Amino acid sequence: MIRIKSRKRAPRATALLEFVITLPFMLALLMFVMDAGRVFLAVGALSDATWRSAHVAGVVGGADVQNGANTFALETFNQALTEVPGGNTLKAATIVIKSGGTCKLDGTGDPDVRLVGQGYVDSIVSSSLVGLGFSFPSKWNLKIVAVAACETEN
Amino acid sequence: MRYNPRRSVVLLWFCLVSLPLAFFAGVISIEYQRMLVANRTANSLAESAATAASLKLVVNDPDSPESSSDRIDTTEGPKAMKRVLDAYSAAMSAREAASVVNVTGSSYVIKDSTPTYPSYIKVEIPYTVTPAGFLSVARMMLGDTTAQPFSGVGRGFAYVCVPGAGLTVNGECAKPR
Repeated sequence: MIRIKSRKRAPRATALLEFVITLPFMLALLMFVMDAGRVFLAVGALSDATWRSAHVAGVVGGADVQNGANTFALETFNQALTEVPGGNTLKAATIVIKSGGTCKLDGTGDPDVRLVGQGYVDSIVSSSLVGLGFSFPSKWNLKIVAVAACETEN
Repeated sequence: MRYNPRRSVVLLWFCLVSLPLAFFAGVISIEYQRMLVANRTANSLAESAATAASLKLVVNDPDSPESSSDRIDTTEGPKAMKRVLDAYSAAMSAREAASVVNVTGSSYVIKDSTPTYPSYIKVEIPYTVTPAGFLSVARMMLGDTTAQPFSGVGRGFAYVCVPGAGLTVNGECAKPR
């Protein structure tokens, strides 16, 4: 029986080498997908916490109103982050008061509360990409705006 | 390394099919995430606007602050709602945070469902989400498309009376103030 070999097969070592070369890129792609998922969860948590914080600030008379050591707004924000999925991936999460520190009680305050919730998520894809020679941000910065009406405006 | 026609085919397939498809799938997943974030933001904004409208719905005569002098002013609710939307718009204009939501309008309805359910204010905010890269990729791969920016509607509710009270002022309505 005559066996005809139409073409020569590539050496097994070459195929293995090609596969190994693609591994770092596949790993980076996988990490990027994981990063995207983590960022998505963190954005959701930040959004929920910031909006809830703004609503509470509007009810209690402003974002500067104190509740012990912290403001009501910050207490609410921190509490919400512990309850919402993805909140624990956020680093340095805090709120910045843009307006509505004091609601309009006597015509001198703000009619609305406007807060910016911000924080960042560490990038896990960064380390592998930097190792491959690419420059890549080491963290994903997140910001969310929330507004609420002051309840004590009348 | 010798020329191998099978390897060329595989390489061609990888470059012309696998890579663009993987890129396309990645872009679509990012767009989907933006849609979900935008929907959450629009709902929160509508909720805030509805609450603001409910706070201003019942007005009070400053000269006689007792509740019997309260009256419902249906013109105040939409004003309060618009003020919240304007505040959000101002924050976006000031680039205080990244914006994925483009608010394209608003609607405001007072639903007086006496006596079975509490009355409520419903605010609907239609919005669009500007695609980050979907359209450009679609154009690159498929030619000029008729695709429009993604759109949706954010909904928010605020209850203004205790159950069974309706929107009456001198009855059992709990004024949200």
